[in-house]
Amino acid sequence: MSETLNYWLVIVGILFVLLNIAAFLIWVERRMLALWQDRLGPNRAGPFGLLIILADTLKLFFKEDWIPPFADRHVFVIAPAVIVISVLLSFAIIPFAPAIQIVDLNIGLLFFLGMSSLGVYSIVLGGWASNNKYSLLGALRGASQMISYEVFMGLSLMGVVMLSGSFSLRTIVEAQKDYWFVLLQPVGFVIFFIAGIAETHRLPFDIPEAESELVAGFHSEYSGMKFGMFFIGEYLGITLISSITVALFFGGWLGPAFLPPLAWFAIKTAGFILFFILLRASLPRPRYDQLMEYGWKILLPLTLLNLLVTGGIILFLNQP
Amino acid sequence: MKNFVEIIQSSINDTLGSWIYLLPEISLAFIFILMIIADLFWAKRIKNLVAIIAVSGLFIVFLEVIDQFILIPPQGVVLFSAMIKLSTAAIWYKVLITISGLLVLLFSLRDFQLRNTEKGGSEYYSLVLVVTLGLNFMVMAQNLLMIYLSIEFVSVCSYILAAYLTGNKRSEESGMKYALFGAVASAVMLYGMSLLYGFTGTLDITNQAFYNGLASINLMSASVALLLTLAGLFFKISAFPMQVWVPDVYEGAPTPITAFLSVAPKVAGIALLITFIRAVNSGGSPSGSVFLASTENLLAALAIITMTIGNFSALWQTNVKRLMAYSAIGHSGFILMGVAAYSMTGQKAILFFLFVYALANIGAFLVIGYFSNVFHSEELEDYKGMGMKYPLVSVAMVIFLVSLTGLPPTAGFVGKFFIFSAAIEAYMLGGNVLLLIMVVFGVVNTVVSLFYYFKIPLNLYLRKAKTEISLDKGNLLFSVIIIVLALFTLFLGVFPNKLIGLINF
Amino acid sequence: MTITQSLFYFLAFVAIFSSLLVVTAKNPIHSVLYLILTFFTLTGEYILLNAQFIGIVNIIVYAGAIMVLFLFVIMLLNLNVESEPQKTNLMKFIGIITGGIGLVVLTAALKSTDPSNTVVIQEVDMGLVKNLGQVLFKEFLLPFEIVSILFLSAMVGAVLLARKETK
Repeated sequence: MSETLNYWLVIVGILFVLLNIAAFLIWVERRMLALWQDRLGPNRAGPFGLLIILADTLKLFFKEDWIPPFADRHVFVIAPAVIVISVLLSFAIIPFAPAIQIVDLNIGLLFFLGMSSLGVYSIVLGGWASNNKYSLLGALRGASQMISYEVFMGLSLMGVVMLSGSFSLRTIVEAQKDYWFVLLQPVGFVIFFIAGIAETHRLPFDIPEAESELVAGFHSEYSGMKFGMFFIGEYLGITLISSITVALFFGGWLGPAFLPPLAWFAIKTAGFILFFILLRASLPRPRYDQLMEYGWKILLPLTLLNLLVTGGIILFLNQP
Repeated sequence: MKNFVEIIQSSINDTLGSWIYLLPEISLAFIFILMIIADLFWAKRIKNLVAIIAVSGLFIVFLEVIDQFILIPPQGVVLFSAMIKLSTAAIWYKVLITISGLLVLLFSLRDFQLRNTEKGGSEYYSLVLVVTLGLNFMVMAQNLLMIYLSIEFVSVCSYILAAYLTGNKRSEESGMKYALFGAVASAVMLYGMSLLYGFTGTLDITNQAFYNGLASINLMSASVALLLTLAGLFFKISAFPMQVWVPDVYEGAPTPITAFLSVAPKVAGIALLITFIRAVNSGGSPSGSVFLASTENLLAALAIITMTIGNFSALWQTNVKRLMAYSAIGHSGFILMGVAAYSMTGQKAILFFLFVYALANIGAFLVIGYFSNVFHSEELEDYKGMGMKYPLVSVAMVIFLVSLTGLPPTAGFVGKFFIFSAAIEAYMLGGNVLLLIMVVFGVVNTVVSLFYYFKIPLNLYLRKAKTEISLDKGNLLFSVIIIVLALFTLFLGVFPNKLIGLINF
Repeated sequence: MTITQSLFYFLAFVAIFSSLLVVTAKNPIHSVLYLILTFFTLTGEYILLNAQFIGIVNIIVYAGAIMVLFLFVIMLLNLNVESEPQKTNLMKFIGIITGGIGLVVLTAALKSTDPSNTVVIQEVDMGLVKNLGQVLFKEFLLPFEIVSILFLSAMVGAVLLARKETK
């Protein structure tokens, strides 16, 4: 009985923490951006402007939730839910600490790839259902960008799978006891991280929304909490990519014993989240064709090469 | 981890043990990749580089295929955990496919339409090579998965080749129609295969379990599953009821591709059909297979319908390529006659007939291509009076048509004679009256075919040309190939034993 | 009825129902959405058969990639209800007749077969990635390699047909 209860507590706890982190990140991002861009950022409501989170959330909830009359109603409503659901489901396989993981699937990594490949529907359907030319353009861009970057996102992880011999994230973390995989798979890490940015369509890869040319891209027509879902989905996505990176390449919860495992995981993840924000503050947005060219002509061959070399070395070292 | 490495190593060892038997196929794949790279880096500097690689590469492959006759033991070798089987018969089919591939490549070198497409020719040649690869696997396949894959392989490449003349409405339509019909056919086939797998629990059709599984269930269920599976093959060999795509596709596709489609996939399809018939009829029980009578009846009935439809529809055609398309359907019927008799008499007659048919059919299409290079038309109207202007080629055309009709002294006569006698022999041995009816229909159809084939020489020689415009000279390469093919056709008609002696296995 | 069985029937029902909706939906985008739903139910069936790998690959490849491309193409073509070709009543009638005959033949033929034995999975780990990989690279090595050449040639063809020549 207590086992089941424990299990449910973990699930509810993770869900609660994640949603709060997503909201908290709104404040973090604005403050950090301000710091890096030599501005003040939100500093009025509460200490350090922390209450802006509350204010923002309330605003989103009380705004008029408007569905344009020219939109496809059902699809319009489903679209924002898809991204939140798919990202939240992905968190199920992440080992936050030895005891804190919802489920340890033996195909865990593939499950993550599968869920992240579903996230694209949110953009495509949202953009299409809005029945607005800017949204549709954003949707088309989003679809092609995410499909392209998914290819080497999956491939770049296969080096890690080869090294640990498993798709289960727990096994992968445990296999990094001696050294982190980032040392053995630096190319894999860099490519995965770039693909991760593209998958969450964050700056500099936020081409589907590109406010300067597409108004706001796929979510131009959204308002109220439906817009909020896209918003939350984006921050959840950042957290997801950061924590997957930590688990796969930076030893997950492993670290010196003076801090508990969960703290190590949180610190490493926070570092990557900050890096995401720093990227937004410092890099310009590439053109659409540059993005595609970069992906298919540079990243894909590099990924395949990385895979080939990794496999060759493993085969060579294990020769009887 | 160690475990994996061992498995990889053992599978590498397995592959190394059998790669020598797959030399032609491996070479083809290698040449294909080489052609893509060559096209990318050096095509601009060296003209026709890709075509040269294609022709010389396929010639090397041809030699390698010939070499396999010596390489394999008489009973053949089973490779890659019974995925494919390389037997003497399969090598013969591969020879035939490679020869037609070579002829088609030479044909394409000088084809007017292909030389003037905006796409350039390099991908064309690489695709022809890949089709050959798929066809090679088709004749060797003996596992449902391999059968499906190789058929799909051939289909996908053929769709692209048929639509190669982008911008040409006819060619695009042809590719589209081919793809749509092909997709339906392979879906039906896949459904049949899933039933077969469900009934038998094995993908390997030569496995005893396959026959036992089928024989143990209700005959009706087994027949439906088999029939659905065979539908995909019937599509490839353009037999009834999957023949509707033929005229439009043959008319629209580039002429060399029409020549190729009318021969090579048919050869491979027949080879695969024979593998299938053999698997179904190879029951271990002393009383023989339960499917013997039903397959014989089915094939005989299909042969009758196919050739009747093909030959009678051809009577009304005014476009030469369309006429040849219906004639190709008719010939599928004749070949099916041989397949119906197969379980009794073996495949010697079929092989010889296919050889003869390939020579004459590719030859006839070469002449069509030759004329279309000269006056850019494939209408029967425009052939009027050309016999006097291009005497050698026209004489060759007459020889090909005589051979396709099946009259002496050409090889076609011998081929048809073998097929008819095989059918009669099978009737004597098995006593199936339908086989006899089939022979009667065959004779009637031969007479019918005379009417439409001779429309072409009639126009060539006996009608006056409409206008007296001066025309270009024909292409020398074409004339040479055409004449060589015509001489071969005559030679095999007079000395059929030269080839029959070889096909002894 | 065990939980697995009732799950099976539920998934099978949803699969058939949504695939019917794929055909009947007027809006092509909705058709694609129902098709995605069908793929999800199929993934469920795979997992019930203990084939997790196939199940998740079904999501990654079919639901996650191919269907997105479907959507992409449909959006580019801008198909909608009005541009759908209207079939005449005669066509519909013929379609129903032929389809009906096909159904009758199939049921008649397959009705008489014995219901198959309950599938008992001998090896529980059969569908796991490790075992699947071993089978793929031993018994099915040749088809696997052929598929790669097939895809390469299909890719050459697709690029060829789609490419615009600049002169």
